[in-house]
Amino acid sequence: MVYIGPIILGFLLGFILGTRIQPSPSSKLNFPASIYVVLLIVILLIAYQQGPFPFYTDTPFANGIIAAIVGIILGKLTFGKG
Amino acid sequence: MSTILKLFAFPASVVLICYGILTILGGHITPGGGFQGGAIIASGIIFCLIVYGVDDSPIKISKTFIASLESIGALGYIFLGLAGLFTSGFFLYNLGVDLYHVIPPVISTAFNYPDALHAGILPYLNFVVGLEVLVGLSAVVITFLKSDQLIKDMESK
Amino acid sequence: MSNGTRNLVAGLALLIFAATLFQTIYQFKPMIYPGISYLYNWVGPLIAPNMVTNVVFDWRGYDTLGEALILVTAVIVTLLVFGRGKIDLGGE
Repeated sequence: MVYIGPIILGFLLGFILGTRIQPSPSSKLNFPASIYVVLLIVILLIAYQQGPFPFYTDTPFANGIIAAIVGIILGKLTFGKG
Repeated sequence: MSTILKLFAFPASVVLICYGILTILGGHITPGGGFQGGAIIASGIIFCLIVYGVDDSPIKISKTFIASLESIGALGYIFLGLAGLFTSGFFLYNLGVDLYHVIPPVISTAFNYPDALHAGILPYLNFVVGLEVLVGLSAVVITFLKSDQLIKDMESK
Repeated sequence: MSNGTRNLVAGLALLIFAATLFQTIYQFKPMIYPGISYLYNWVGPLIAPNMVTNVVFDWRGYDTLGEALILVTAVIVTLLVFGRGKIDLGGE
């Protein structure tokens, strides 16, 4: 059975920080959506290499980072502009 | 700042933020915890601030955000302590691990952190301390980066 | 007082001070009694595997509250130094 403690807390913290990603309107910087796909792949690799915490037996990868990046992306999509 | 830095800084910041969140979450098992994870997240935010400048950075932190997260962090710690004071007789009593067996098991299972270990309220304490530290360190750096404009505002009043 | 005499007196004072400090740690082991360490090594694995977090947040949680208060005070003082004139508090 999956332990929900780290997933919920990691998602909450990622969501709070994801609402702050707002590119300013008068700048020439442009970060399209493909950056977030690349970030998702990189974080998946990091999670698989780190392994789970000691004494955790539910998944073979780290749950916390996956919940964090999902929270960041969802926070940017709901409350961030652009 | 060169083009390579401007291409690299924002994704590296997001990876640093994710790693800092992992350090906070594993505070009761691995080395790390609230203070250390908060400093790692703050370093991710500060990296973006330095490379792009305060006005142009993708990760923007407003004054309301700083004030509210700092208040939530400090008050959350105190309310967890007061919850221990009102149910048992001790301030900051670990309500999940009931060492002295003085509270009914309903409260003890309600405050326990749901994972493989029996850690009590320790991960919640790490979480609120992490919130407070990340906002505090970023606020100091933002103040020093905007100091010219703030001093000009002060002298014109 | 000439330079040579001053150096000599300083060297002698350093020698006496160093001898005092080293005498306090000579044969220190029979004087230590690890009282609370026995208790917390027995109770600790019941709470969490990380003994440092056990002591910092559970046994000495009140001191960690003071540490958080230091951080809050530092941020408030830094923002107060640069913020004159931003908020209208009344008065003249």
